[in-house]
Amino acid sequence: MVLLRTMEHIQIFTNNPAVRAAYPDTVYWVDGAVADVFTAVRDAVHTGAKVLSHPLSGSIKPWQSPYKSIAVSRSAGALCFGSLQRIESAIAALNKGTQAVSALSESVLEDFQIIDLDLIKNVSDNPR
Amino acid sequence: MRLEIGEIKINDVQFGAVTEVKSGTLHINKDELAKVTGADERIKSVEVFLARPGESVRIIPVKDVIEPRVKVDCDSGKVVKGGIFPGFMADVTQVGEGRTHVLKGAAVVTTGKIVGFQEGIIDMCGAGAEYTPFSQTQNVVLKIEPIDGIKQHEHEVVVRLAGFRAANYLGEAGKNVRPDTEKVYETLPLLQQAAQYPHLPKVAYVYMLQTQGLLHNTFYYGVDVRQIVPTFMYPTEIMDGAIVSGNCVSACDKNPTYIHANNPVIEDLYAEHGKTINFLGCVITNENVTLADKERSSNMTAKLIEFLGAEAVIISEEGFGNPDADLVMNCNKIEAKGIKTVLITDEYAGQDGASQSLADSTPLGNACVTAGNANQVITMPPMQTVIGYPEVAHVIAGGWEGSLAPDGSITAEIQVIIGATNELGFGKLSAKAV
Repeated sequence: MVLLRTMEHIQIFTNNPAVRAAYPDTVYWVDGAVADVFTAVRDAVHTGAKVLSHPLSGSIKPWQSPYKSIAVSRSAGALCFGSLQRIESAIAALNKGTQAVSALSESVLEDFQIIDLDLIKNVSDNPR
Repeated sequence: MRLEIGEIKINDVQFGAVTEVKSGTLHINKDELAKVTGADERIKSVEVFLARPGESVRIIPVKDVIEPRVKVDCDSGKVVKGGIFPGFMADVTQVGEGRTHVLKGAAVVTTGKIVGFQEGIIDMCGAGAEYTPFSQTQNVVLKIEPIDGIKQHEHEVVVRLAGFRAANYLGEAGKNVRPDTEKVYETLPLLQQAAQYPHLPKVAYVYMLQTQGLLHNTFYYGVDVRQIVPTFMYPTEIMDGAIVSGNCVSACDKNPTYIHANNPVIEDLYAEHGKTINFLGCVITNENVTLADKERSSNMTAKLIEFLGAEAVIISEEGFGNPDADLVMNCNKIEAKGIKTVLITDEYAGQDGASQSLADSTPLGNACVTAGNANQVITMPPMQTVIGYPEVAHVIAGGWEGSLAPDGSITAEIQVIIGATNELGFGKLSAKAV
């Protein structure tokens, strides 16, 4: 059986308003920080979801950007240890940033949103 | 494929009436360069500055660094088609053969405020200068301001192409100059190459390119590498600008276009070619966001390496985090075919250097070269002149609240410095096991 995945089978965990606006039917909204998005994805993985996009996408370090979007499979199944390992190591990477980042202006926040949206478009452009 | 490189040593840059190279000095007609660089209706203004080694100058934020080059006819009279930066500044003609002149020691540096958070510092003197290779080049700095209302995607394209126009304009000045140094690089078609040195171990190079999206792009003959499947490349192709950078994030470990053209892995593999190894060529591959893309690309990379008959490969990474997964997949799948791998990466090991360095790991990655710890903290003294947009230092990606002191000094991690932990080994840092 060939796996043909469509956007109906994908959920995007995000705290990025631009991603919520672009994919209103696909988004699992996390009202919080990047750490909260990671935690929500980890919880979903424990119920059988698979991580489809890399949690550390982008060269902007996870503690530097206020936004993060991660695509996971909607279907529940057996625990995927690869997905668990990936999200746990992302959480560890996030915790390396211990210094407080400067307060960001509205335009800078918008730039972070646009880049995060562009990264997650990789999933919608060619879902599989 | 055979390429002659003629290096014209540039020891100084000066503004002058005519753009030309004389006695090792690159003279530049400032207005003409600004006009060529700004030949895009989306550009409002171009300012040209010079920054020389040892001067009290800071350039921020740096988007790309580019080396001026030009294609010329061979001394034998043989004419080879094609131009520098195929797919952008020239037709998509095959490059990597014939003859190319290089203004060695000169560099075009582009600065433009594409997004609100910024990084990418070149200091021409002081502690920061020790960490970037571009404190040692004669820099022609272009501050490029686009028209109002331009969006981030288009802004990146505008600045990228402007830099290539400027580099090619300057490169033309080397067309009729006799080079100081001559080099020849040659790779034969695969079966001939394998037969040339039958008793030497056959080595290939897996060249990973950053390709995740906006401000994270790399191009090969004008195509976004995100859209390709891994393919074979003659190593000489990069010397004519077949690979260019649209990667504007993670200053320390991105590969500017300059470093692609001077890839030290390829340089060193050629240096040993025919002596201790038989260098077969390169496989270029991408670093995408989805795990399915990563699986496909690493499968095809391993397949190509096996098909080439390589006995060992060097794999270089670009970036941190997400690409660590690609690095590990490439390593595992190539080793599984019985082919030895050596990995080149950098580290994010925390400011004390004690944390896990990479976001992924494998026991098969038992031969690994590091280009330094990007979390290392440095204080860079104030500079008399700041070219670019000094105000963006307030929100340095890689800094924190208070990174910019009132006196103009910057305390931040070395990840803000262009090329500080370059994963092709173009920088000065490394580490060894203790």
